Amino acid sequence: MWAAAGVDPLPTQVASLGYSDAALVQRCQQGDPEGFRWLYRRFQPRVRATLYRLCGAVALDDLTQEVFLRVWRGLPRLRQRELFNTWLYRITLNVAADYQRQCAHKRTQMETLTQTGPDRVAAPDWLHLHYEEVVRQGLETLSFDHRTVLVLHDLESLPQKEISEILGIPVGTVKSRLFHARAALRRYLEQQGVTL
Amino acid sequence: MNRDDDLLVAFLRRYAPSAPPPSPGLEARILRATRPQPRPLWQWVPPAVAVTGVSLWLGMASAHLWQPSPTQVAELEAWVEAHWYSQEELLP
Repeated sequence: MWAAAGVDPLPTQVASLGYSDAALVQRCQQGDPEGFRWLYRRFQPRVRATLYRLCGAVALDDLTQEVFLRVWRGLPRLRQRELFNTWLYRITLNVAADYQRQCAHKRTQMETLTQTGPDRVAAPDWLHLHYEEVVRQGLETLSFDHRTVLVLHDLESLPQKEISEILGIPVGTVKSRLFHARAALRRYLEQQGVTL
Repeated sequence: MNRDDDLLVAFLRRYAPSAPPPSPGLEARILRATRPQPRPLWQWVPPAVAVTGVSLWLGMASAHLWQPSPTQVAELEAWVEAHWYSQEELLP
């Protein structure tokens, strides 16, 4: 799949830090064997955080793998390297949406039981953990469309225009979904006794 | 954003659950899956059969093309008859 051009491989992670996203993508497209590793390491935390907020922890590793395999397959055809970020988010959301569709009919308590959030904190701050759980459950109460816009805008800090490009919807629809998502989440937090 | 939105977003950012770390082998698993896999042996069978078939066909076709015409056969027989005994005289 990759054109094995005569490209010097990136020797260290430090070297990859000097590359812009577009330059790193270009090196991948030119057949740099280390390029994709650094691309993965640079974007994995963001992809993973988005997937986690949209889909939970149950299939997180598998979903992360699916995203990066789709990226790897699609990279040779990506012409506008400067839009890599938008393209990556689109793939991430497609993978998340596919997963949501698969799970829509078989949501069980098992998902709640296998959440790993509180276990990984060394010195638990119970109030913090409680609020994290409230936010997690609050996000789950939203529809997938509303949750997606809220996560991308309020948690990932993406501008509304970029979200409209990622989702292929007008900016007005993004604003509308954001408004309703925030209102629903605010209501949920109030029901849980959270005062903002 | 109004003040209510600001407060909500600040709360969400502060308490948004962070993703658990990936399993230790995930990166290696993904990178392994992106490497080109060696072709299984059975996948070589169709091309091998095709190459053999084409070679046979070409061989038979060329054999047919190089078959001497009746005129050439007659000339050859006449030459052999004319020179048969002269060749025999040369034998010890």
